[in-house]
Amino acid sequence: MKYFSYIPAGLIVLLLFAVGCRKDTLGPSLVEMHGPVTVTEPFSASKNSVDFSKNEQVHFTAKFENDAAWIVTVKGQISGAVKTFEGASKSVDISNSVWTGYANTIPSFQVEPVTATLSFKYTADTFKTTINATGLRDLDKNAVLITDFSHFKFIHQWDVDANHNLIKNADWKYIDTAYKAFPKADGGVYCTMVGHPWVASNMDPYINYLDLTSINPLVQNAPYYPLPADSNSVYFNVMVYGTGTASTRLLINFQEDHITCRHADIAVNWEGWKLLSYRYADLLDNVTTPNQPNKITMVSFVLLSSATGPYPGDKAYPTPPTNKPFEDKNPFMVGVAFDHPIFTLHTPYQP
Amino acid sequence: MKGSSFQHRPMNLSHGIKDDKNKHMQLMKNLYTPTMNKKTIVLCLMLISIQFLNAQDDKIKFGAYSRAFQQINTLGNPGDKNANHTANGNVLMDLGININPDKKTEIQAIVRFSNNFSGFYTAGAAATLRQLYVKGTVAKYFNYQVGDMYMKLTPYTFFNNSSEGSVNEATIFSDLRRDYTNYENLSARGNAWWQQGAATNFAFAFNETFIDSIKVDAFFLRNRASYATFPSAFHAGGKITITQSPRLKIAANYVDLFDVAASLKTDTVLLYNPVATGEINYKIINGANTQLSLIGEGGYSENAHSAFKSGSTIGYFWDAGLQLNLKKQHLIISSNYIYVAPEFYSSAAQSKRVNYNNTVSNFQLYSDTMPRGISVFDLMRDPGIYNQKISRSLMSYNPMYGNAQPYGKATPNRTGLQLNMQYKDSLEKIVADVDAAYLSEIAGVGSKQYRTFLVLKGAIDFNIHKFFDWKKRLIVTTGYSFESTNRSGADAEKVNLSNNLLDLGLEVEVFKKMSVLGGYKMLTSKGNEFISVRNVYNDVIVNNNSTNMNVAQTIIAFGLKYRFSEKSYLTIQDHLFSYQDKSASNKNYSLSQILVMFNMNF
Repeated sequence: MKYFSYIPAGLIVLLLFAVGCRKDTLGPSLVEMHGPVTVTEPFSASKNSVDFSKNEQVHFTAKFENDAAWIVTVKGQISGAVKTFEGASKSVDISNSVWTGYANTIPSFQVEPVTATLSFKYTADTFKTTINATGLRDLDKNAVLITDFSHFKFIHQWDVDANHNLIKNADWKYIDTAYKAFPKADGGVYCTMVGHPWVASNMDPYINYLDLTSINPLVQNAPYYPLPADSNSVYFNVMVYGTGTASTRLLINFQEDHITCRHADIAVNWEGWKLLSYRYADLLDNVTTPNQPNKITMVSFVLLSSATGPYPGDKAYPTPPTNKPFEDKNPFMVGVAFDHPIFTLHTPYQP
Repeated sequence: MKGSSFQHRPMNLSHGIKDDKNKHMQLMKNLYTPTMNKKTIVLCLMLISIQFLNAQDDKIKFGAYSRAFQQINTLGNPGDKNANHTANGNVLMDLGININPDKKTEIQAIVRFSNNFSGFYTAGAAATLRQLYVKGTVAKYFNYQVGDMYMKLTPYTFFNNSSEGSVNEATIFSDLRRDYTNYENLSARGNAWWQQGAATNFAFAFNETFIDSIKVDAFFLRNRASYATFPSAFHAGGKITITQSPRLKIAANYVDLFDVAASLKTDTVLLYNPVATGEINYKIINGANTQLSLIGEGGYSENAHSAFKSGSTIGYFWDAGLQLNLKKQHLIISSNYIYVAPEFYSSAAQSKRVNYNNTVSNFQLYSDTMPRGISVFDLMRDPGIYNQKISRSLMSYNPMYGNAQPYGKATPNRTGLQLNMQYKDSLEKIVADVDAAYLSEIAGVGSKQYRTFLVLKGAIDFNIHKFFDWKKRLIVTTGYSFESTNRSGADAEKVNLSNNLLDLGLEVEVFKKMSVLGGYKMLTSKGNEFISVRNVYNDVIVNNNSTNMNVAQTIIAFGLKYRFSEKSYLTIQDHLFSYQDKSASNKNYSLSQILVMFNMNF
């Protein structure tokens, strides 16, 4: 037992050693960051043009005398898409600024010239360079696109004509032109729903709906979307345009084996486009069956209004102006646009 | 078939020999000594960490936890576009089916039946498997458990640190936190992590030898299944505890979180995070009334990645001190010194219980567009912000709720002295627990200056009814913590942040088993701090996000509680929450919650 009496003494020695053991600074220096920035190597891109469709990537370079809080903003000159990189270091390099073609959020980049701007958080200096995006990353790769509304083969059969086109006299519209402050979401056409509730009552919030089914009328043996059974690994994504009207609600229903099993109830209270992503396991349940993404047969979009009546009339399916769908100032008129509903695996959709 | 008391039973590696050692040792000696020669090694089984159900001969037993919960929330200032009112609730039953095919095997499945209070007939109803495990004994000596289990080692190796926002909070708050928030997150078992995998333990007891006993625990857990470009990850490890005598116990712990490259066809970043520690508990004085113990743990971690960043980072830590136990005075005083290197990374000890990147479940926006962050109210009542998984890198935290040791004792880059005093008289009229700590950084973050942290924390329960020998409860609970963070230097690097948290509670039993509950919680945070952003390798990449705080959060709550038994009760509560940002009044908001919760264990 006498040996154990040495243990406390040994530990005390170790502790004293630990007390005196200080280490170097972690991370970039705050004092240097707040000082002037001296660029020792100019800002540039690693290549002048990049073809993301060939899995190419580009990175940016610059060197500074001291630590700097820098921001590189990449902006598409046509799409307005934006990708940013931020850091605090003595250099912008391949470790902190590799661009693989994705944007921060929608809209996505197009084939277009792109301006990259280096700016600093604590000084007003900016440096620019231009590169050409000559090919786009396949954003839908390894995903299950329901429709981008340019090819209507997945839309419910009674809404599709023999040429796979949308039947134009449907009560919901697809729009192929952009309005003011209303750019296209994925660069192509999108779908809109506008109106007020069917009846002059505050009891019925329903305005319009659209069914998108996995049953392609020309491919009878495709009853399900090709998704795995694990609901934790499946995400549903959709781009939704809101008008800023507080009473706008969009209900997205999911049918599994033709029974509505899950739903997302969205208060569309924002203005502009927004990319929404839901993990399938997190959707609200309608029935007791387990989440089964591999059994999804239909996705429905239902436009609702939470405004209380009386409404100005009982005209069902009001037809909005075809070129100005959201400019009706009727407070009971609500509208949404949506585009690119898509299932992704393991991660939300990256635009 | 008979009913039985049902609860989740943990496979808790840490508390086996430590808690029940004397009882088991005595039992084993009584059993084996008469037939053994001196110095004969006796191999025996210590059924320590598995708590069996009440002994019954039936092969199938049922137990259940049932809860009815209804919550009505009102937001004070939602703006024009957001709803100001939400209501949600459900009734559920976690049915535990316990099957004993033989005396050495136990299979337990917990099936949840739930139905929301918010839809048409059966809308929102569900039946799901919540927990499943098999456990038993092999060859008389080896315990095993396969499936779901609770796992805990030491605060530096495998430990689910408590969430922030409470210091001995009132019963009206702790009931909701324990039986709703923590229960829903499978984190209601103290500091154990809910995991899936396999574990085993066995022990050797030695008769009249230099060593009393050796206990071995081992586990193999699945951290992540492979998907996309992410490989499968496993957590493996164990503990060997050697009890030399009643005076001396030493232990070795080892845990390793590692990726399996073969689970993917493509190259990817692989993580390898082994942590090895040694523990000692040596009673320098082992008197009947006075005990003085040397308690310590020290070890190292390795944080290694392949592919993009090869190589590894080694970090060391020490935590050693003395504990004085004055039994007559009902007082335990301890003091310890810690040194946790900036590079120390122990994934299962540093993962946070709260994921501060999650969004709150109710009222994500207020005042039209203002995103509502995680408040002290949400920390208590929102299961959606909690984290159930062991993270593979340091998670983010909010300095407002705890800046000194946001990752618990294993917080890297900390060194300093900690003091603790616990008092509990024999009748538990007064129960007190006081902590103090003075810590500092080992490496400056973005600065050559070091942050210093002063922490004072006190919790006292006054069981007033015991002073007067009243049969009905009259309990006052108090808790207060103060934490200050300071860093000197140039204006660009100065830090000065003070956090205060006050918890007050009252329980008055007005009729038999019927209590009136009251609670008050106040959190203030004032000053500035820089919030570091780390990459997946735990390197600080951004540290210039300066945040100024001048916030006061308060919760006032009152309610009624009727106890059917110690484990079953009905409570009706009203909570009024206010968030005040004194530097920007447009960020102020208020929330109220009325809830009815009926908990039953049977």
